[in-house]
Formats: sequence, structure tokens, C-alpha cells
Amino acid sequence: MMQRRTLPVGALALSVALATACQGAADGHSIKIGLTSSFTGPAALYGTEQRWGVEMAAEEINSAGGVLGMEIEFAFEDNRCNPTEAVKAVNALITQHEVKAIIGALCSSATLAALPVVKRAEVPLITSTSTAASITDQIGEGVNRWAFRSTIADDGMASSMVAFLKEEGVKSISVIGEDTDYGRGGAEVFSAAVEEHGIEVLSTDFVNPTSPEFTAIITKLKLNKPDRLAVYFTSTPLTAFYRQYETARLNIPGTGRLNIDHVLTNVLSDEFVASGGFDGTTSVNPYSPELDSDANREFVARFRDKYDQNPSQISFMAYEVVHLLAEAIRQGGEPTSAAIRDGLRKAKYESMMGKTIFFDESHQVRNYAVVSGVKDGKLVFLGLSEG
Amino acid sequence: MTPEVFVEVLINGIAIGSVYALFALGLALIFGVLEFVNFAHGEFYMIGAMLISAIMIGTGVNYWLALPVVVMASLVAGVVLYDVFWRRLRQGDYEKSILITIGIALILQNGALYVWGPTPRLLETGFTTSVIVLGDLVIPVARIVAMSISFTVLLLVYLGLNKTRGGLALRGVAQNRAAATMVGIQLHKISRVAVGVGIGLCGLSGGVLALIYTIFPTMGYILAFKAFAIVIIGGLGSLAGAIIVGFTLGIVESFVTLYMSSGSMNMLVFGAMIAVLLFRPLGLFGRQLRL
Repeated sequence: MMQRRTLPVGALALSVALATACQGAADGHSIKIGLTSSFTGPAALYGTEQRWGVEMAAEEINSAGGVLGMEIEFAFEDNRCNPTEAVKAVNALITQHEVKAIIGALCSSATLAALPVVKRAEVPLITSTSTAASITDQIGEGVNRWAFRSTIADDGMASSMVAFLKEEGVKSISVIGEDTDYGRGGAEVFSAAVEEHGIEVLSTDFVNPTSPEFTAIITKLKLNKPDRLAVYFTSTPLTAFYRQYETARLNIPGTGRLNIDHVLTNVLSDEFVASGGFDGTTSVNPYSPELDSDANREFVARFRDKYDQNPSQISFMAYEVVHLLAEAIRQGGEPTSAAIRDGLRKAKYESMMGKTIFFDESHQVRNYAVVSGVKDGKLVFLGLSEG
Repeated sequence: MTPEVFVEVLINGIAIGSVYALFALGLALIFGVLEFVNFAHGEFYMIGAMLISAIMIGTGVNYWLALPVVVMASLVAGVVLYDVFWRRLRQGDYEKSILITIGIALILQNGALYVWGPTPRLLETGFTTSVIVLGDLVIPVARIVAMSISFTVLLLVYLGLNKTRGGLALRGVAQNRAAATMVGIQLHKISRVAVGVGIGLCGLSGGVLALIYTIFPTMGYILAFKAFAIVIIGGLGSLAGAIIVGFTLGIVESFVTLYMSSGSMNMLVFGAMIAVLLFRPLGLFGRQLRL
């Protein structure tokens, strides 16, 4: 359905923008924040979406007078979702760009690697996207007081998703994930939640995120015939998998944390979707553009106006974390890393998801998760659940 | 396992194996004649896939017109590279050859990232998502097309090597360089043809696999690593070895991954490669079958 998306021009513009962003000098009237994300590599699409969310929020804040009388200025460093690159990127943001706070590092593996670096450098880092449950134990007062997570985690989302599946009468599930901290962590917490609800896990498979070949896994699924297939993939393996899913004419509704919008818009053909090949798929995510609230409708309209497409969950999370960070800078009262860190413990922000979010003792937030699904070939909003 | 599943898995295995064979054949051809390993082979494959997608989106021509253009472009690129780089190397300049080909690989990979961006692309041809359904049997049309192209080209290469004067000369150089030069075979001319055909085959496998797989700048190195294992197991420079091992690997992989994870499959492939190097350092078909 609709047109397939290619972003060569966007990527070019991005590299030009990256080059110029590095030259921006602090003129005393701006406060510098770093974003490290995957602008290249297999998760590059997510990196671009994150950048859009960040830039939109920063523009809003700056045109409303900035914070503490200063403009927010962003510095960008690529980490390709690679842990080694993430360490390099965070170091570059701190020493070369002299940022006061960092948002990043997109993928859970990269964020896990960045955590000890910001602890040593005493610069606050907020991850708005890394949902791996393993991050929970590594941040918070007494563990790493410089690291925060502004999104709900995979374990909370998995248990609300499974409770929903149980109600639908699902008896058996197969799990596939990419071989990264995100994929393995997501699959692990999902399997745990599934077993807790008395649903059988038929198989669990992990693939290299750049692996092109999924036929063996697809044949295995055909043999096992699970009621649902839980998917923990980022954009590259997700695209590759669902293309081969269609050519195998497989019909197993997906679940887990599946980027339904991407699969519907960019991967599956109209005929296959119309034939019901993707119907019954459900997914739990921190956000969905279908969310029924005035604040969200207004946000979606503004975002579409600027970028000509719906905000993804990555863009949404990036947008909200910048607003939350701006509030923390106000609360801290000074443009220093230490003051921002203290401000982060005091800041409160009215999330579009319907809760007032703030960082608790363990530097996590509580918020709702969205359960969405596919009905008659269309993405539909199914409800909110406690994340 | 039901008979339908068996047939499906077998067809998938043969389809993938035929492309492995095509890709590894190019690598073996270049090695056989030049005795240098082309470490940029995976990147030429990626460029083949990127190029066909760019041509089809950019000009709107159909797949069957775009594919020959990609093959010709790869062939010309191979000839130019031979004249610019490999021709200047002397026999035994292994380090230089490794550095040059790895350098080319890095330039191609990052160039593709710069020009086409990182987003995974899918090729749309009108038949990429079509299937043939026979009862419970589902066969993707794209795999049948990939298999047919590979078989045709493998046959053409076989005929070319065995029935033409150039082909015989090429095999002569691969078998014994000194003797071939002595009987008046022009070494540079033959080498240029070998590299051109080798890179051409590589671009072709990119154009063909683009029907089945997603296209992105780092797609090449996974296949390239597997191809190195295929060529080494088959016997470096042995064309028949590359083809036989390529097919075997495709089929074995297809069945084994039903029962094992894909990660352990790689372990198996490279374990087999190490075992072959230990016990038959010339490869399974190192001497006996060398063309």
C-alpha cells in the first residue's frame, strides 16, 4: 500500500547537516546538548527519525524563548548502533563539543556501552529509545546517577502485550529476534511473560541483523504453526523478513514489538495486505500515531506538516525527551551538567501518552504503552495498557 | 517433514546454492588466473544490486533491460580495474593486492552509503512477490527466476571455457602460467578477460539476488565471507570445486538451519573450511578437478 520510501536525498542532506552541526560554536547564548544515534548502519532509518523529533522539539523551545534565556543547540555524533562507536561518540560529544547533557544512544547495545563513560565524565545521559530490560539494573541512584531512561522498558510492555494475547485465546507462540541486546533482551522478557501466562513457546530463533536469508526460519514456522509470532527486529531485518514472509505466503499474525506501520507501508504488497496476510497482528509500543487525544492529533499534524509523514515512535520519544530535558534545565537553574542532573530528578512533563512523567529513584519513568493491531489491512489502535 | 516441505526446502537450497556458485565462480576465476584474492568481491556484488535498483527506479525500465546493463557495467569496471591496478602487480605481490582490494571495498561500501543512503531497499519487478501454488507447495517465482538465470550463465561459462580458444587459453594460464606464456598465450589479455568476467559474474549475482534479498550498503561482506569459505573448501582456483561446493552449501544450509540456528550454521561452514585446510590443504578438488 502507498509508495515505498527511499531516502537518498535525506541521507545526503543529513551528512551535510552533520558536517555543519560540528562547526557550530558556543556563543554564550546557547546551551549545547549532544545526540548520539545511528545515522548510518542497519538502524540508520531510526537515527533519522530520532533526529527529526529532536529538531522539532528544539525549534519549538527556541522559538518560545529557549531555556534560562539561552537557545538549545544540538551536536550530533553517529554510533551505527555499535558499542565501540558509541563510546567514541559519547567521548567526542563531551570533549570536543563540550555538551552539557546527552541523548542517546538509540540501540540498547550502544547505550549499555555508553553508560560507564557518562558516569566517569559526570555528564547526564538520557536514553529515550533503548528498551532492553538489562538497562534497568545499570542506571539509577546508587548505581549510575548520571544515566536516565525516559521510555518504558520491554519487560513491562511484554507483560501487557501477553495479557492481551491471553484474552484473545492464544495458546502457542514462536519468538524471533535479532542477535543484539535489544533482540535477545526483548525475546527473553517476552518468553518469560508468555510462560507466566501459561502459553507455550514453540521455538526461539536469533539472526544476525544484516542476515538476508530467512527461509529456514519461515519453513520452521510453517511446520510448527504457532498461533502468534513475536518479532524483535529493527528496520533492516524487519524489512528482509517480511518480504520473505510474503513470498512464502505465511499467515501467522505477528506480535511483540513490531513496527506495524513500517511493514504495512514499506514492505508488504497491497494485494497481500488486502488478502489478509497481515491481519490479526498486534504489537505493543511506547507510542502510536493513532493515539486518540487532542495533544497527539495536534502533534501528528505539526509533524506531518514538517516531515510529510506520520511521527514514528522513535520520533515521538525524541520529541518528548527534549521537552523533558528543557524542563530539567529550568529546574536545575544553571547550564552545567551537575545542575541538569539534579534538575532531571525534579522535572515533570505532561506526556501525550496521558501520564505526567518524571524520573523515580531508579531513573525510570512510568507511562502507558499502546497496543495496536491490523484489522482488514489497516493499522488500528486497540488500547492503552500500563507499561 | 512432509514431502511438500522437503521439496520447498530443496528448491530454496538449490536457488541459493546456484547464486553462491555464481558468486564463488567469479572469485575462483580471478584467483585461478591472477593468483590474487579479490577482497572487494562482496562490494561489487552489492554495487550490482544497488545499481539495478537505481536504474529501475531512476529510468523506469524493466528488470530484463536493467540486468544486462548492470552486467556490462560490472564487466567494464573489472577490465578498468585490471588495467589500473592488477596489471601493475608482479606475481607474488600479495600484500599490495590485499591492500588494494580492501581499499576498493571500503571506497565502494562508503560510496554506496553516501550516494544511496542506508535505508534497506526492495526491488519491485512485478514478479518479486508472486508465487506458484501447487496444493500445499508454495514456490516463490523470484527464486525460480534467480535459479534459471544462474543455471544459464553457469552453462555459458562452462561452454566458454571448454569450447572457445579464449577459454582454453584461460584454462592454460590457470594451469601453468610459464608454459602458457611459452606457447604464445598473451598473459595480460587473458588476465583482463578473466577479471572482467569474474567481476561481471559478481555484478550479475548482485542483480539476481536483489530479487530475493533487501539491498543495503553492507550486504556484501556476509556473502563474501561465505564465498571465501566455498572457494577454499573447493580448492583455491578450482572452478568446478567452487561450483560443487557452492551448490552443496546452499542445500545443506537450507536443511540444517531447520534444526539449528543460523549462527551455528556459520560455525559449521567455517569449521569445515578449517578442517579442509588442515587435512587437504589444496581443497577438496584442489588438483584432480582443476580446470
